[in-house]
Amino acid sequence: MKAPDPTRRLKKRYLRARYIGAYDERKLQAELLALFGELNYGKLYLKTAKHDHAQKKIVFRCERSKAHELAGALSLIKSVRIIPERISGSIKGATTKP
Amino acid sequence: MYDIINFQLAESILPNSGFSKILPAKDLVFEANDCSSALGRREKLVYCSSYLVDSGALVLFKQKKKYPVIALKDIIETDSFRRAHLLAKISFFAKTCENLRLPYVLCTYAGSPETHRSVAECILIAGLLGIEPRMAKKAFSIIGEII
Repeated sequence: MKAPDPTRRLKKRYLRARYIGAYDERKLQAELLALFGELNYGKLYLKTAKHDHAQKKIVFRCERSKAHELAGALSLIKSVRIIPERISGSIKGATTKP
Repeated sequence: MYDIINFQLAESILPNSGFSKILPAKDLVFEANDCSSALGRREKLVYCSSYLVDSGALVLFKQKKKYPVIALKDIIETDSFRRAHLLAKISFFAKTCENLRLPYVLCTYAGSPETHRSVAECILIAGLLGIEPRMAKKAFSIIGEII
């Protein structure tokens, strides 16, 4: 099978956030789904890339053009208080840089 | 940047939020259901909870140097259909103000410390309303020029 054109790959961004309270991924997904709708939630390509339970920090992966929208939406989550901290092009950048 | 809140200010909020000053809404903001009912009032800041776009009233706001207030707590505190409805209404309201070149004030107008957000978060939420970061920063700092 021919490999896909590299320009058609998923352009990713990594969003680091810290949270206060009990984190429940199912509830978070349900709230984001309610906010974005099925169509836009799908276009987010949302995935949890890294989760540090001890420091209460989490890194989300999403589509490049939706990164700021996702950060805004995370600020509106009610089940857990999520504070977006940094958007980066790599997991390393998102986790190590202040 | 300034913020307007609707509860007793706790000292712990100010350093974490990024706002240079947090003002109480009492005596500063007139709350009305629609913009036209605020025309005869002395307060310069008007919070229209319905966000009904009344172009005539907004033109008079510009002449009388009154400023509409967009409260982010409306989006933060609500959910589902009501939130979707408000997102559309506030977005259209802000766009109309921009078209009329009427400066508007953005604030959290939080009713409790739980619904209060930092400057960075407020700018991101404003982005969901179609307000550019540059405009959002201007809308957060305009209170300093008014009072």
